[in-house]
Amino acid sequence: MSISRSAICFSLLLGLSLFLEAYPVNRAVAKIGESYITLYDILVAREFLFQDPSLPPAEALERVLTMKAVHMEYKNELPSVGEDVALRFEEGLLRKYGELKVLEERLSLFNLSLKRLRPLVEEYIAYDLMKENILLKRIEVSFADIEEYYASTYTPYQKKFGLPVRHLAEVASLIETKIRLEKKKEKEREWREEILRHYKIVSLSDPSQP
Amino acid sequence: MKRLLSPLFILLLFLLPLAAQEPWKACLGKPIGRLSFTGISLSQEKIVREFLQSRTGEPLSILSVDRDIKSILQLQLFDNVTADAVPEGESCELIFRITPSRFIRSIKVEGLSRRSDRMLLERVNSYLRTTFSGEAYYKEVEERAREEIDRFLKESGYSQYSLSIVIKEPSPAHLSLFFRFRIPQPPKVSRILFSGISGAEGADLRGALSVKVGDPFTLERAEKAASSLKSLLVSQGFLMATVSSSPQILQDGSSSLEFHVQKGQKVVLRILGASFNPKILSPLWGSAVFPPWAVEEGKSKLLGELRKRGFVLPKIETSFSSDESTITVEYRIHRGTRYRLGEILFQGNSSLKSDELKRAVAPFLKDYFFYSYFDASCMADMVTALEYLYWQRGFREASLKVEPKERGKNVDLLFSIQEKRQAIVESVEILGGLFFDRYYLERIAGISAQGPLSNDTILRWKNAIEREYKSKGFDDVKVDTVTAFGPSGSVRITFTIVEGERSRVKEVFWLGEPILARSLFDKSMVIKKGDLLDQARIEESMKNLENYGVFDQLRVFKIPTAPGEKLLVVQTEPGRTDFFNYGIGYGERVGFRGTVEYQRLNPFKRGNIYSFIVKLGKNENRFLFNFDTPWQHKGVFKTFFNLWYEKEFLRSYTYSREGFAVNAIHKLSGQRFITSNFRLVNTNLLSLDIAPSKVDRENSPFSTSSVSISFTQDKRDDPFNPQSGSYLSSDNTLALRFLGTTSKFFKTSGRFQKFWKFKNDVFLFNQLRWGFGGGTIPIVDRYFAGGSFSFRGSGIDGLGPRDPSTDSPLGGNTLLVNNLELTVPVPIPLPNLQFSVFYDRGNVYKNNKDLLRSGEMSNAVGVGLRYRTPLGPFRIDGAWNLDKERRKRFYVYFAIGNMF
Repeated sequence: MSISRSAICFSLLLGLSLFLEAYPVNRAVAKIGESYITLYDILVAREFLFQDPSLPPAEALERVLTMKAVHMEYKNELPSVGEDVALRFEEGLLRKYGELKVLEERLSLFNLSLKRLRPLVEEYIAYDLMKENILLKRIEVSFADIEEYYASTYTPYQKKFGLPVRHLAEVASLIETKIRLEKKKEKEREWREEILRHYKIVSLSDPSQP
Repeated sequence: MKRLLSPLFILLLFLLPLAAQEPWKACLGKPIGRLSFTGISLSQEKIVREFLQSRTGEPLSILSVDRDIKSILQLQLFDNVTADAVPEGESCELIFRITPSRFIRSIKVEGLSRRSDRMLLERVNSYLRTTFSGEAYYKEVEERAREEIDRFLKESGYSQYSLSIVIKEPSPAHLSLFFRFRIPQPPKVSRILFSGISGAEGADLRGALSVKVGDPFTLERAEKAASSLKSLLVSQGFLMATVSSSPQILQDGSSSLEFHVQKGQKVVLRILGASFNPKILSPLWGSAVFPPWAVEEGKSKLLGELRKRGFVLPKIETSFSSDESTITVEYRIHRGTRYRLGEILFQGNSSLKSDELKRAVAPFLKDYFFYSYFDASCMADMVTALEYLYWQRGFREASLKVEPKERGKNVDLLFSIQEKRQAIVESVEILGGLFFDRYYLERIAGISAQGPLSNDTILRWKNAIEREYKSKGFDDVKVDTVTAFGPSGSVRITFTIVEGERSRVKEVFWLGEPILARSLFDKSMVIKKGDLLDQARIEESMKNLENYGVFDQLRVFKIPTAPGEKLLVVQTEPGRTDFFNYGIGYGERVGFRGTVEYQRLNPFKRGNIYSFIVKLGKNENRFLFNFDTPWQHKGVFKTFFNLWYEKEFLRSYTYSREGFAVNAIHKLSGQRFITSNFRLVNTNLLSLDIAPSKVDRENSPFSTSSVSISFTQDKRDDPFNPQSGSYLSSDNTLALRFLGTTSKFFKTSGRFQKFWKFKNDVFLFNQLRWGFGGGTIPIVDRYFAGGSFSFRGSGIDGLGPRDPSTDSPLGGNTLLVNNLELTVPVPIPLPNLQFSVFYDRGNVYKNNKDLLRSGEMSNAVGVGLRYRTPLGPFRIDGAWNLDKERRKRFYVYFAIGNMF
């Protein structure tokens, strides 16, 4: 058989198989405590809560698990989410999609509406606020940290690229912000691992598979 | 055209993964034409369909599918659920692919090497059992278990080993995980070190160590060695010594053992003024103890011991001195006088009567069979018991103290009570309930204000309210109680009810292997479709199912499907059905014998049991077939059938017999039974050691048909080792010439046992046995007595008439025997060993007239030793026959099992 005939046959077969193939709709991917996380939960969170559709599913799953774990761990201490805070979040979402109609169309694909999305938004905001509260308490940047960064990182870097080395007093606040951000990331990772350790997590399927 | 096809083909390949990112779009909005399930049984599918939100005919909704997946998983019956959609023209098929859960039945580590560390394996297996048994199985379980096993092994000094896993599936729903642990070569101890002591001390201890260089290393060995070192140091007076071992695996694979020794100070204990061994105080001086605390605890212990012995008012002076190396403690005891208990008196009790207070302290006053001294150590417990009684009656602030008052050789106990204010329930309010009015609830729960406050009463009221709601379908009812105290001791109690939703049973489902007939399952379920969800009826249904004895596990799930409706799902796991037992025993009539038994449970799915038993011995051959039906009518009635063949070689005769019996047991209460039976038996006397005339010319095969009724009342505390209570049984048999049988007689027999328990483990038993009969009783059915289980002052079957020429026992139609026995503990530290003295009296008579005419009885006294085991005592009895005309004066018997 010539290549073009093979290609036609293959395409036809492929088309036929596509027509008859079962499309995965949803499945459970993990269990944390007594709650189940499905592929749907990950896709909704990725799209509308984390607002990063390109986030790898495994990473999105970890963030969803963390959110659930935080809600279980701090259920009596979670900050309440005011109407204005939720609205601001939804406004941000709207800006991303440009038009309300586009956003609603996208939501309807997941059988959601803004109203139905609200509880998920509040859950996410509560988690975010709780995380900020806890991480803020844990992060301290001492003057020694700033000095050490100034001496070991800032100054050599500036010299290496022939840039002026500004006085410590001028750059201290910038350095502090940078160190705080790095420490926050580290602390966030440690805090996430600590929380997740309290709960039994069972992997049910690979979220990366279609 | 051809040139276009290849790029088109390539384009298709690129587009395909894109289409797969949100694949459900292909079916979104299309109506569901078909709903299918894979991986579950039809009965499971029926349950799942009941609460799915996705329905045929309705548009496919990804949100509904998500909720359905979570609802299915919440049943806790399934591992995972995947939903797929297949386009079918204008509609689509929605397929739920469900993986049933499997549970871990057993998980353990097995060491195949003989030199494996048993103690370590026991610890690891105990941990695995506690953590994983019964859990749902996921792959993570294997990894978690392996991590834990590795941790145990490494902490115990193992580094070179292999661990393989074998998974077995004893049933579709269960897994057993076996981790096979192998050490290619157990490490040897290459070095022993000591820390915390000098070199010379280490050399001394090395000599006393139970592990040496070159010995194979095991954790057990190391810990035993540390423990024995500690014992050695303690025996030398270093009561606060600690010894721990830390093994380390060296690079060459051998093990280095280091013992960390902390001797601490030497403790010298002296006790003057009473005969106590100072060693009784040694356990108080463990490591890290605060010495003044140990001194005071020692004083308390000695005071307690003195009080136990009747020294009601002892005094102890202590002196304590300490230097770098030694602590010296001296206890100077002034015992005072020993007393017996006189009166128990109360003063200050205006609200509670003295009789009631005496009843509260009575359990602490032991029986005084022998005139013995008062155990004053119970005084503190008596005060606590009285305080609790007052607290229960609402006297929350009552205070009590007890003062012993000497009165000659006795001591009276005077309890001084300050009752103070009684909290009285002023009002009881019931809020929140709409379904019942408060007056109805008050009546049902027996609530009444104006009584004293009692926590037990409040709890009883609360439980009664909850029970009433739950019986009417309010499965989720919550009742909170608030107790508010007023200034004048008045109390207001408020019950706040949150009713929840009232539910009915939408459907009853049975999930599990159908090992019981469906009709029996339905009969057991007293709660049916459409009934209100009543927890009490659910529990009754579960109990009915349990009574069949065929299920290993029974679980009930209540699954909400709609407001006011719940599915009732009963999940069952089948139990084991085949049992094989064997054993060797000894009976004094039959000698040694072996027994083999096979039992099959539930052969016809109706909860029946059949069993085959074979007993073969020197003097006995027995083959039995039993068939039991399950308990009926809420466990009060059952029947069973027997078919048997037996052959016995006795002193006076040898016989064989085959028979059939139908029996019924009716349980009148937990302790009372009535048993009735009908028997058809054919007997063949194979040999006689007595004159044929003595067997009433029945030395050819003869048959018996009889009915009997027995009554049993068992109030013993333990059927194998009874110490208190009583036992009564009576059996009445009537044999008639029915169905062509030849025997005609009646028999009535019975026994009554009474057990008394006294102070200091002293027991008294008495047993009376009787038997009366009339008509022509075949020799096989006559009464015989004599031996370790009836009359110990004669040989086996030795009581009663004998054949004049062969002297073999003939048995009789009448029996009367009494046994009286006193048992005391043996005064040496061997637990469960007892000494007894006994008196047996009785006889067997040819007939009732003989009993009335002569009434002669044999008498025997004796002594014995008993060693208690869980299945009854091992006995040695020696008895002296007191009759003037006796065959032998002294008899010795060995037996297992109670005389009574």
